Amino acid sequence: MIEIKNLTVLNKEQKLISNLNATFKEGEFWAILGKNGTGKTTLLHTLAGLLDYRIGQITVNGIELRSLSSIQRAREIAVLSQLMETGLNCTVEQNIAYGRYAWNKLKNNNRSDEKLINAAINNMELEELRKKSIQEISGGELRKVEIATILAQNSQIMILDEPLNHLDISFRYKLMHLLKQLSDKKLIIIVTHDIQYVKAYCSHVMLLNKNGETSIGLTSDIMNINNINKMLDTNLPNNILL
Amino acid sequence: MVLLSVVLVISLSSGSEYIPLSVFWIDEQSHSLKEIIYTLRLPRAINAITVGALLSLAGLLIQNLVKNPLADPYILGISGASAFIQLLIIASGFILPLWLFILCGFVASILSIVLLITISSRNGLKTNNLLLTGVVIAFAYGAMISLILSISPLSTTKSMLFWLMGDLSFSQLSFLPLILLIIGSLWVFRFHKELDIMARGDLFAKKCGVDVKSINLTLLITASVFTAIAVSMAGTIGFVGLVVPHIARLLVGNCHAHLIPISAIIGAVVLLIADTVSRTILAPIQLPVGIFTALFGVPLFLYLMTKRT
Repeated sequence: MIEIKNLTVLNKEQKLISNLNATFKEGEFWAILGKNGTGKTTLLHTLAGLLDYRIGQITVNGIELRSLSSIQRAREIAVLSQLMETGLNCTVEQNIAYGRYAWNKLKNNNRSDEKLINAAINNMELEELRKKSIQEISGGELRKVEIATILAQNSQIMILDEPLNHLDISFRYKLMHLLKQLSDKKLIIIVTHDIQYVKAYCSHVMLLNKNGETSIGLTSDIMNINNINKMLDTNLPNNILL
Repeated sequence: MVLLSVVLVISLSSGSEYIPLSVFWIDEQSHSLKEIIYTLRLPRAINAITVGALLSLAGLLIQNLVKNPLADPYILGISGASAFIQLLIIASGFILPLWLFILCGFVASILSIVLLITISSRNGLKTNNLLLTGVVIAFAYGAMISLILSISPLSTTKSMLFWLMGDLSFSQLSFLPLILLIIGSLWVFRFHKELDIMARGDLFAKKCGVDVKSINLTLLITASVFTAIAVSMAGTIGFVGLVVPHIARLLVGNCHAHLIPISAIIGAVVLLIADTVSRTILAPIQLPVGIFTALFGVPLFLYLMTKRT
């Protein structure tokens, strides 16, 4: 569970979101929506502990986020970011196994580690790429590897920044379906621009408006055309939600 | 390891005069020959091994740290500080005992690192800040070194140039650097898993739970100390720190559990061969070892590159 109290999200000195209060619980599948530059990624990175926050409070299961060590944080929260780094060479399999670092420091993967790694490879349909170098695969495949890595990490909270990017349409459905299943026991938070997927799969939404205001609540309550037009600063007809 | 021993034996026997190692067991009037080996060649060989291994490990760490394959242990100005102070000592005409000379260089390097870390860690220890600050500091030392070279008398210029190209002829028998190398290697080896993940990207490693900030700082300090020891002992021997890590990667892949020991051994072998050749080929004239590290390393590296692709 993540609790946010009076959080102000800043990018350098510019206020992106002010005075945010929200509670994210296990069993919920959250989507954060908003126009470009409204601070979705900054908020996500802040929630994931990758960026520090100066104003407000974030607690994970009652513990202040910034007081967690790197390992504790990675055990609680797995993050998929938009930026894909490739760095030096490693194989797809190794890359996914790195997701287990927080749990076993990669000393030796025991049977349950292996099971999680194999399940992640299966779920992301990477069996044939296992031994390939991450520099030889396509952008979409690399995305799948990154998602598989956080699946293997198997944290209670999973935060994904635009997970649908680079994926083909059939795989987008598959991924959203998988995340929905996972959200039975875990807390899943995604950032996305795909309203249709949000309506179909997410239980809760947070809309970020231009002026730093937010609309937060159940998807069924919040995702109406008025709120969306307010968020996007547009005048779209109702049928875009279909 | 076998290769290293073979090279060591050859290195000890060759020089201005060929001395078969059999002098040790065929004990005749060979006292002076043994003396040559004990007081001249053995210390020099041990220093070559130590310096080669230290530079390669430092190169491996720095390349991982700044995520740049062109980085070498000298890129952050660590060597510049040492070279500057030591050239200043040579130029000023002071004759210091060798240990004090080495210590001066070492202290200068360490001070330079402290300066570098203080400046570049103001907004977190970011790779680009670190690299840029280091390169700029290195330029300043380069300028001061050129200044010293251009105003000092011809008689000292040659020994200074030797020093700048790397020179192992000052060697004394001391096991301290070798012991530091062994302790240092084991210390670096402790981080081999983290290094594997960090090679993939700092953000990635952070997300996996690696304490990137403190490990980066630890490894930067370790690499700097390695470089400082190597440079203060033997001047700025080029090439080893840049290319040996790549040779090791081409040979054993990207797993640091293998890369760390293999880099150290290849570095030791390359420098030992280069040094043996540099003092043998035009004997009794001794040439700067830096010339030969490149002359041997380049073909080896190019051969491995073409073989892979």
